[in-house]
Amino acid sequence: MKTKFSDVLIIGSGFGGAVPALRFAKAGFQTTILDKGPAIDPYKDFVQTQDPKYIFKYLKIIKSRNLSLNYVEGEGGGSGFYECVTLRSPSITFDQRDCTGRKLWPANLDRKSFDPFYDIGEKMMNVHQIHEKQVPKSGLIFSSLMKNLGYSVDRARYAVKNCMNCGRCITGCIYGAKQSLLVNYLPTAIDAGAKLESNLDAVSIKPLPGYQSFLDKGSNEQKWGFKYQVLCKNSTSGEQITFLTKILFLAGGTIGTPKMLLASRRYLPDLSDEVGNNIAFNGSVKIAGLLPKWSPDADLFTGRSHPGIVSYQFVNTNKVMISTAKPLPLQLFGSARLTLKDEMTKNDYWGAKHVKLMKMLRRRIIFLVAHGMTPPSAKVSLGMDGNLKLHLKMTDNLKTYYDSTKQLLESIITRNGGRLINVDFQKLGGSVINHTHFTSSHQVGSCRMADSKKNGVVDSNGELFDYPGIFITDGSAIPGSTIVNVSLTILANAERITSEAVKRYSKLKSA
Amino acid sequence: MEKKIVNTGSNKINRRKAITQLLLGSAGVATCFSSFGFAGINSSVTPNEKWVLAAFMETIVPGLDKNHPKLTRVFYDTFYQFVKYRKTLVKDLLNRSKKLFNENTFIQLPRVKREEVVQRALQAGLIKNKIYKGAIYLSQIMAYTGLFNSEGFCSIIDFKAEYNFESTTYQNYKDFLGKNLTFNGNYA
Repeated sequence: MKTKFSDVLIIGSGFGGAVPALRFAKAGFQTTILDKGPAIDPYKDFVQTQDPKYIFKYLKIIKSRNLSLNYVEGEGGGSGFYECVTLRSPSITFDQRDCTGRKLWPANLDRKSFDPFYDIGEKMMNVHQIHEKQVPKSGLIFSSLMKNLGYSVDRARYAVKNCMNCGRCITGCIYGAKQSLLVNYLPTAIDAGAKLESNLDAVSIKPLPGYQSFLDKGSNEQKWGFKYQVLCKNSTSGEQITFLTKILFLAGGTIGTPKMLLASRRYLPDLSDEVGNNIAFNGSVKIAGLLPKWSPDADLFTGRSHPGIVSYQFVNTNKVMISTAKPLPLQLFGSARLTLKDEMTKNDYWGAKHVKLMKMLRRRIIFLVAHGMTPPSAKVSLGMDGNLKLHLKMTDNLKTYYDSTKQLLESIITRNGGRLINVDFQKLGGSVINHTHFTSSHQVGSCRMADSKKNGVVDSNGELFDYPGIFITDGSAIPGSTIVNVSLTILANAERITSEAVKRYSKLKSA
Repeated sequence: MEKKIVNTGSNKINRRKAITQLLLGSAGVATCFSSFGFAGINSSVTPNEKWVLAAFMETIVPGLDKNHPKLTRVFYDTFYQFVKYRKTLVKDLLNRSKKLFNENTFIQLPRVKREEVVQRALQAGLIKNKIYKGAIYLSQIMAYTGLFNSEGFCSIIDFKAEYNFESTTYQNYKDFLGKNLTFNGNYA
């Protein structure tokens, strides 16, 4: 078995991994990033297609009865395939409390403490507010529906340069316009000396003797010695490689990081019991409607994937942000059946009546989506087969949240004179889901930050309780729903954690 | 012309006949593969199976071009689990057509009757229901994503796979925009 050495080892090249990769490489540390998924060259590997064979090469799903979570395995993580909408989490999300009244976020963290790091992330990702004249038709129509009811709308912000408005963000930007990590953080990290190895699955973590040498104990050689051993397996060849490292960053995502830690529990006996628990997911609720006769046409298939407009009207009252969605046909027909309420039965999801409705899909149907501050109530556990299992207990509160949010969205359609469309969600293969079910790609919290090991897995510096030198900088460290898309908050948190870690270890290295 | 004897396996046959058979055989296989155009295809295609499946797809999504040579490719692609149930689906469509309307090809039925065949199958029990639901699911995905044709185009929903640089917004965009709660899109 091969053994490799690296001062800094980073597991995962998404938003949580790309940041320490860049910052440590620039600070002169020998830095290696590993990714379980395949290498991606955005100019060669991205394709404007909905072929499931291409999509599912990168997109993965973990499912339970009440919740499905989507994530990406591939260099750059979710950034290659996200809609690049990039927003700061509202202050209210940092003040979330659990049922005992305990604040979910560590006491020293709030929106104000995050703002300088949001600034850094926005600058790196070229984030800016969409200009009025670039808002896609569907966004303008959504805006007019809200305006008609006296509700506010805001132009959203995106990580993009010279967007071509092709509407194919989620299949990967072939123009290099969408600011995925593949066009900024990662190539810059590589230019600064970082190494990126793909198709390497980090299977387990083992501390080496002396891993507990703190800054104030032991000789400098001990403090700056190799602390952790990570066993990796090549996802294609099966070859096993061991990495020895001094500083370890776990950034495999809300699904990948707890999997690694749970599999390593026998080597990390002091690991918090909270690993895998407390997953929050921005409980998204989606509905569809036919536009009222007075409304001009929307357009599902032109302009960028995200519609350009969001509404914060209900953040303080209902804890939700509302927008419209522009699903591509595979996303739509792969997950839902549409029938016109009061005119079609639920069995009319195919055939002539259905096609009559589908002819209106592109221009006369609008999808409304709400993302909300739902509590961290999901979890993952490791099965005997080594695979993760997802669990979400559907509480009365979650059901009430779902039903009331759905009612709110439907009222926006009906009070504007539109007609409701039944949306019956279905699994891959066509079986209908007949109960309340959430789908999300905004999952966070499975290794959350907290003020104590009793309530979390890492401290507010992102360092694993009882295992100095292991940091978590991905979405799993974020303690609660963010209401808005999570990418910028993950990035800012990673910048925050990394900046302290670079200072600390630079001192040690130079000593 | 002098006839030459050609050994093919254990049988000795007329050379002209052997070449003809080889050509027909390879043309058949070539047609089969060029019709479907991708690897992973199961090559045991029965002659009218493709047309039954095309008629099924057109029943589910009226307006589809039944004659498109690649329309039914998804039912032969081993990437999708449904390939195991394809023959069951075809057999059931033919048997059900015969039972209901005394017409055993399904293809010849008018659409209304084809719809009834499918409706009855969906009510026929758990297993049949699952098979038909899976077939409907795949048919709709193929139809609406346009994956069966090289342009990735679906005329029903006016969708093209690749960007075609159409106008994305309205010139009078200001008329649509309402009051905002933020100055830069980030909520406080």
